[in-house]
Amino acid sequence: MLAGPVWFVVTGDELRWLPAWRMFEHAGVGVCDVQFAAPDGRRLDRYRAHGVPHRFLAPDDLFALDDTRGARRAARAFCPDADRVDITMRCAGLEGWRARPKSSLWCSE
Amino acid sequence: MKLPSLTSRQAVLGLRFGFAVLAWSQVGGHLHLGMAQSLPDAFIVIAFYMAATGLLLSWGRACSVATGVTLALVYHWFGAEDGVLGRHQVWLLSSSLLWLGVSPVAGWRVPARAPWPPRPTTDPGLHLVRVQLSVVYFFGALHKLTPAFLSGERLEAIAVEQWFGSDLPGPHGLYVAAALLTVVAELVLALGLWLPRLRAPLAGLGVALHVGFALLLPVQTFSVLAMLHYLAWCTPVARRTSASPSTTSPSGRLRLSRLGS
Repeated sequence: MLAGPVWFVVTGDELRWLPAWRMFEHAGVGVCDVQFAAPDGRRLDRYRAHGVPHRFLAPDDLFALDDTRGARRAARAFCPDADRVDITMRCAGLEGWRARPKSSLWCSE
Repeated sequence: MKLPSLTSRQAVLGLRFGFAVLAWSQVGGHLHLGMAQSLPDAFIVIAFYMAATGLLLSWGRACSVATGVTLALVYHWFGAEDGVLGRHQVWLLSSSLLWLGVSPVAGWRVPARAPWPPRPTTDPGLHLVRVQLSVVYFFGALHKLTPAFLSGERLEAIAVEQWFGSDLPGPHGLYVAAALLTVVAELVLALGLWLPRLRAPLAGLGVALHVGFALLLPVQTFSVLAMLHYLAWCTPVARRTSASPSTTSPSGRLRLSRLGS
């Protein structure tokens, strides 16, 4: 009962045979928080651009973005109204948010 | 505020039945003979279902131990390949079933025997289940004492994944407060349930917390499992005194510190 968690506290390693009761530690790891903005700094609504009335009705690949490629694909929806879309994103790891370098999607690309 | 008062027998049988249902529901659908690649695989699958069926029908001590052992085997043998079978609630279920094997309660078909001479003991199986729950809460809280969790960032990531998608709303302070409250609640539950005066309100807090988790997060099995453990707190907990004239009433019934009193 105590061997697994005490072992982890002392050594920092989790024994495969004796869990350390680190509950739901990996929940949310890998997801990204992404903001899209126009060149003038105005925030852009991804759901409206994709014709989705509410975030909960959005398809998975728009709702939960987990990489730069997905974010750029989602940003394409703004192109009819913008020349450039600025993308700010941070992705979750075990140690918290990790900021990704800011990038821009040029609609002429 | 008072907790329901159960006999040790009622609590042990209730826990075994609840754990049997959870064992079936957690493992069912993820463990079947079709996934057996070898003879040991097949043996573990068959042994688990035999033990879990016996537990479901008899609520018995031997079946409790057998289901606990086979669940531990399932956790280690198949857990690495199937994420569900390798989750910590399978291990918690396995442990608690093993602890209930220590209880003198045989099963629902064997009538309870009154101890003679009567002695102020608590059921050792229930006691281990209580300790197990405290250990889970305590180390659950201890592992959350990291900058990532206390800054609210881990909860923000979970909110992104489960609720809001990659467009996180809300003030950052809300997530910080939720993180701090979670850690404090787990620490208080780990230690406070052992204090008779705090037991009833903290049990209410614990149940509310788990219902909240189940409503907000995909942690329904763990929530039910943890709430079931509270049955172990609904029984008399004997004081650490030996039977003596001062602790024994004229009718021979012992004074026990009832929950919530």
